[in-house]
Amino acid sequence: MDKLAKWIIRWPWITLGILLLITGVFLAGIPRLQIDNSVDSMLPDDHPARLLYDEVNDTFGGTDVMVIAVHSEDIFSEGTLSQVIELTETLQRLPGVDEVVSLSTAKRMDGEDGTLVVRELMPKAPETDAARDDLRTYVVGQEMYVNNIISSDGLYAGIVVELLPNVDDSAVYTSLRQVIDAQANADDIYVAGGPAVNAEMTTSMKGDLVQLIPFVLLVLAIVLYLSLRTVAGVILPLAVVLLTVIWTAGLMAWLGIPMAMISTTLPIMLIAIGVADAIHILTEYYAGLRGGEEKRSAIRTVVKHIGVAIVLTSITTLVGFLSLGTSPVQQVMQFGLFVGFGVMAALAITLTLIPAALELGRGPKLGARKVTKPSISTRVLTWLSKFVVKRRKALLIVGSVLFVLAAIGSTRLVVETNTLRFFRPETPIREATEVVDSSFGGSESLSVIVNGDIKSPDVLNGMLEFQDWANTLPEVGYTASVADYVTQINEALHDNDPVERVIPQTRNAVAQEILLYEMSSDPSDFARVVNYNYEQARVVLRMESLSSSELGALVQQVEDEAVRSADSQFDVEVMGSTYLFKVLTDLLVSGQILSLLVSLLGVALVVGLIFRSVRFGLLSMIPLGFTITLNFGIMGWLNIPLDTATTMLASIAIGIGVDYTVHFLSKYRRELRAGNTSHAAVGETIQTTGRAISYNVVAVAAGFAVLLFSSFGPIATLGALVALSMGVSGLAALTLLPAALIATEVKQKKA
Amino acid sequence: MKTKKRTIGTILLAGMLGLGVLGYAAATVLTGREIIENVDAMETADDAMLLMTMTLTNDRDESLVREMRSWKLGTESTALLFIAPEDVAGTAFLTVEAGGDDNMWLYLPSLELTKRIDTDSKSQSFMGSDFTYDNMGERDIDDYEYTFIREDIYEEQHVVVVEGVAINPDDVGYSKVISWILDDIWMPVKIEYYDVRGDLEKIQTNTRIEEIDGYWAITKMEMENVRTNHRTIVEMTQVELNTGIPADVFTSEALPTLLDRVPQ
Repeated sequence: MDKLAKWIIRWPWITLGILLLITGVFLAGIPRLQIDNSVDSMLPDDHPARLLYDEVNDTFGGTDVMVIAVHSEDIFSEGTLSQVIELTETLQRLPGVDEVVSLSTAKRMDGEDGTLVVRELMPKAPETDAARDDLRTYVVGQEMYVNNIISSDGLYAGIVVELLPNVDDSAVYTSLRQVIDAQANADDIYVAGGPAVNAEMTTSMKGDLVQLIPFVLLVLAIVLYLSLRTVAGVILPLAVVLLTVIWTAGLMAWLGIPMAMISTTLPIMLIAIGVADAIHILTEYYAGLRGGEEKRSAIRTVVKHIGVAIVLTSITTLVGFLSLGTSPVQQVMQFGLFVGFGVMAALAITLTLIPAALELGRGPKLGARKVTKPSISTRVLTWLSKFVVKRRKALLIVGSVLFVLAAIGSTRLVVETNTLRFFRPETPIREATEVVDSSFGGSESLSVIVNGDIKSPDVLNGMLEFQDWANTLPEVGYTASVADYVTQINEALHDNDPVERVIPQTRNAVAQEILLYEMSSDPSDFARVVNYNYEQARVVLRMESLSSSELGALVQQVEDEAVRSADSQFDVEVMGSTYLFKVLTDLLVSGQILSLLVSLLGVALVVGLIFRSVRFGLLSMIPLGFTITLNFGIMGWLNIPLDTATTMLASIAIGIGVDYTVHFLSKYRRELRAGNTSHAAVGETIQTTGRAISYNVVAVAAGFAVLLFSSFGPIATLGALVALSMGVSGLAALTLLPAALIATEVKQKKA
Repeated sequence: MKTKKRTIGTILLAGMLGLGVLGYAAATVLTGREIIENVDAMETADDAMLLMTMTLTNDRDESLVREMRSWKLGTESTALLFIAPEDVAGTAFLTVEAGGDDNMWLYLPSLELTKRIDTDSKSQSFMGSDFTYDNMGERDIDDYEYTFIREDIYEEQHVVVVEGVAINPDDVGYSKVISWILDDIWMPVKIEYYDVRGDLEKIQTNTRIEEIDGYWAITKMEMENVRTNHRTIVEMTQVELNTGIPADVFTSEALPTLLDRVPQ
């Protein structure tokens, strides 16, 4: 370590040059950074839900839909109908769109005076009132059309846009949005559905992060200046952060790994991590200068002492984040690996950039400040060091009580993701979803896949029975299957006799009626509801936007009933991208709990190895375990659900919080080795390392608190919780840890 | 273009085109319109009996095969009977053109039901295939304005390329149609259909053109929808011309009995 410091002090320009060169290489990669925010790409390739999703998409084309609701005084007016025709035509051509279903693509199957009418419902907008009334009467009477291409309240015309499998939701949504926004009555057109919500979510998340990061940095800069009181103390940590972010993003780009929903938080994480090392070095360096040390030797001392400590903290942080590598969710795994890289990059940059810059810069005149009266922070730390030693038992008791309360709270924790609730109530996507949910009965789709002889009347009747049941569910607004087509044809063939709205009695009759329908339609029309050889069919359920647990309950109900309706005539499977999202959420959370245990144990193990002390290893779990439990406890008591966003929190808490512990232990041990008693060592550590820890906590917590201003729920929550857990973690390291250290030290001596 | 379609349609449903006008005049001196008129002027058989196989293939390369028998009288009347698959065997359609209107009847054997069908047949899919009735049937060559584009070599054969721009795209369903026509026998070998917005929608290739009893006939043709990647191949496996099909075959009353008329 000392050799490194000597070399850097000798060749500061070369050091900076090398850093710049490496940064340049990473920077050059950034333009190729891709973005991928599809939900399905987050699930492991071999997960059963993913396999089914891929298979079903392959068979039936895209199963993800967006529902567009066009509001009009009279949806059967010539203007609205023309617009529906025009929009349908345009949307059909958008890249990523598989099929568009609307009044203009629908068929008319009608029996009139002994004649079967098989036509396009509306080749062009009808021009006479009589024709419009006729159209209205027909459409309103068709179960397959109500709540699909017209709303049940008659206020909206529906355009259902089906996406191709595995397309980028955001890209399709953006181009669709452009089409809608160009309409004169864009305010009366609502776009809802899973892909729209996903796209809005990505946009909000990225937009907010981009807007807020400068403020995070500003707050960080202010806190840094107030703490360290030098310009270098502001610029250097920020420079470390900036380079770390560039290196990590650059690496992702060069490796061709796309930025995903989860890794959007990467910059924030790196800010929190990157700044910590720099603060510790600078705090110690300025302390050295204040102690009268000459600049060059102060640099060397600090690199020697703190250098070792930050190598250790980096290793433990790395272990904390690498545990995410155990996550079954690929994106989380990658996130863990890249944060891990970021941690090491921050270490390398801190250890080279800062000494070189300090060597080149003029040393600040800090000596003078030492004689002035002690600053507030000094007084607080001094008080704290005495308080901790004196009241250690009380501290441990209070800590234990809090821990128990938190543990009780954490049992109340609900695992729940409600994507729509991520948005504030007045946002357009929530409004659109509410409109579509209330007028059309839902904007999200679920598919029940039926395997069997689809042309068999028994199978079709089973499907109808299931649909009838599903239609009674309050969450479900619309169902459709090939069985509906068959009843529609059968009714039309029998002069519109409603009694004949049934499945015919023989298999051949079904086959022939289907042939009749095919005769009048595009060959790919049926492909959405039944496969080519009629061995697999899809019952589409359109339902309201639900939270993950509500969806889970619904899926269970649907599965049970489908099996009952099937009556062994056919097999059923349930799938849909919303459902996939639920599976993903469950996986994320369960994966997270494992990751958490792995990191906690991993960190304890590494700390134990580093300090060659089982006791230190075990003690390091105190601040970490306390922070995590408190976090989950508070979430439990405040009814904040554990969702895709908050679930990442525990890892952040461990990864960053462990630093405080390691710094503290490292300094404490140096004090012990210098011959101090455990009491004195604790006091001294709190006053020196404690200062750096406090600065670090305040800087990171204040920085994250800025995220509270995000309009996007998950980011605001994440900001608040990270700020909170940084505070808790710092406090625990400065109070519970020393109290426990003294307590265990005493016991050992007695033993 | 219509004309071509018409030719094809004629060939498919009716059977055959006469050798008719032979391409004595060099193609280069003909206008697009004259080329199409030549195609249109091909002589057709009085009646035709066909056995055809229709193979539908989707974008996953799964295929469905249907077998049909058709009887055609002139260019006006067509009776079509499904033979396979077994579950639709006996299902029959009758189309009779009278006074410019298509009258259509349907027979479903499972329900023993004969129905008149009111449909705008021209843009309808032909029996669930990628061909529409329009692609296969008669059409007014005056629906398009033709331009001779160039002479070309298509699969080692000399062709003329003619573009037809629809005068009223919404009515015909296409904005334009480009045809590759053999200029010795005036048979199209390839036709591209552009949708109302001007994008390529379907490509038809006539992969087998034969001379049967003095008439030129397209006996194998393929239509590919480039947007959906769905394809249809129609192949004539049996063609009998001018056999004197009795007129009572082309009545709705005869539909239930068509299956009995199929030679075993």
